[in-house]
Amino acid sequence: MNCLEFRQLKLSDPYCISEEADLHQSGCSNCSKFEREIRGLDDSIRSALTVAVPEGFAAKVLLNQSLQSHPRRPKRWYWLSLAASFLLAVILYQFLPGTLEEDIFSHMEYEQVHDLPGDISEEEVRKVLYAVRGDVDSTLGKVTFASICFVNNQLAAHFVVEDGDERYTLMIIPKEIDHQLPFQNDRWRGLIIPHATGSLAIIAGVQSEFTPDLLRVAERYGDSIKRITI
Amino acid sequence: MPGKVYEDMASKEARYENLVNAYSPWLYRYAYWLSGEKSAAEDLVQETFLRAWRFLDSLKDEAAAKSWLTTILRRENARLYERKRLQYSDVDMDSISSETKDFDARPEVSALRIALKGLQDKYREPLVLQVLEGYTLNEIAQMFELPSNTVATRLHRARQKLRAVLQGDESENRKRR
Ligand SMILES: [Zn+2]
Ligand SMILES: [Zn+2]
Repeated sequence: MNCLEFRQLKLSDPYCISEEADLHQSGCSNCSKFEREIRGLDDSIRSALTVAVPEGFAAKVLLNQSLQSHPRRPKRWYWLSLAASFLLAVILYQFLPGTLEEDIFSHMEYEQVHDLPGDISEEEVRKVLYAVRGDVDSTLGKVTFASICFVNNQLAAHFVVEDGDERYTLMIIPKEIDHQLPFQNDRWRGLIIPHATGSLAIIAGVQSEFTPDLLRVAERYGDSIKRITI
Repeated sequence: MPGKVYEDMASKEARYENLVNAYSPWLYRYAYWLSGEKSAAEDLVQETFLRAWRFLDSLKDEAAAKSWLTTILRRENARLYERKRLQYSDVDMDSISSETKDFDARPEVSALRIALKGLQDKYREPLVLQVLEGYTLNEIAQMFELPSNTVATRLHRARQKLRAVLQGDESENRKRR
């Protein structure tokens, strides 16, 4: 790394951890001085950006919401719910970012526990798709699980869909890919294909007697989901 | 079934309250720098959380909460304030820098705040995400749907512009002395 590259890095991404940059800095007093200056600049920028939040703002937001919907019931479950949230956080802790496939598999584990029998309404499906700039173009058919999730460090739509006797996991992930990506472990087999919203993953269990044509399934669901501009 | 237990105990209201407490300061500051004014920022955050309340049952992965709220806010801003944004540069700079109780009043910070107001959106917005909330280049690139080297160039230019403001300030001070 030379001085110019070092300075470009520090001006665009001063928090990035780079051994190369550290090495250069330790041997170059000018760049070392430059790095201190940028750190000072960023401290000042942070102070300039940190505008005071109006006093009681969170309370105001909560009040506004409660005025818009029904009167609030007493919160007797509050502490229990905190405990439950903690438990959930522990479960979610397992969703540390790995590769895209690993991430998808960890969501599969989660879904096994949280998929409840019953149909998800189209309205619910649309709410989930909204998070990834998607919408339903034609019906997805039977949906039994729908969640806004975090996959590969970005918002994703996670569904379980049923088609006849087959059951698939369907994910819409904004990550853009330019080629199909098959993946597999001992329990699941999946395929990621490019889609208007980024990419679409379809996953099926490997134990199933019937080996579905994942590409055909992915394309069919892909056609039912369109991208929206806002 | 654990899912059922979770849904019964963590009432929607408690979840919502946790989200509002955890993320309203960040969303307010982000909205302030998107819209350029306090009242618009308050409205934007209110709209964001009202939408979040309606959609809350769809959020099962709590790790997605902040990105989800930030995304809703960006889109609400695009929807509601597209026209208002044009007036951004008309905001009276002096009245901003004199509101000392709301802002850090050190001269270099005030100078930067005014310069930040004058930056184009495309330079200011990634800087807010990076400096205030520690978003990485890739995360910002994904959010804006831009290549990450484009975002890197914008951040680079933004810092260069702000650095020039501080250096200009220093030379002004030297002249006065
Ligand atoms: Zn150097
Ligand atoms: Zn998921």
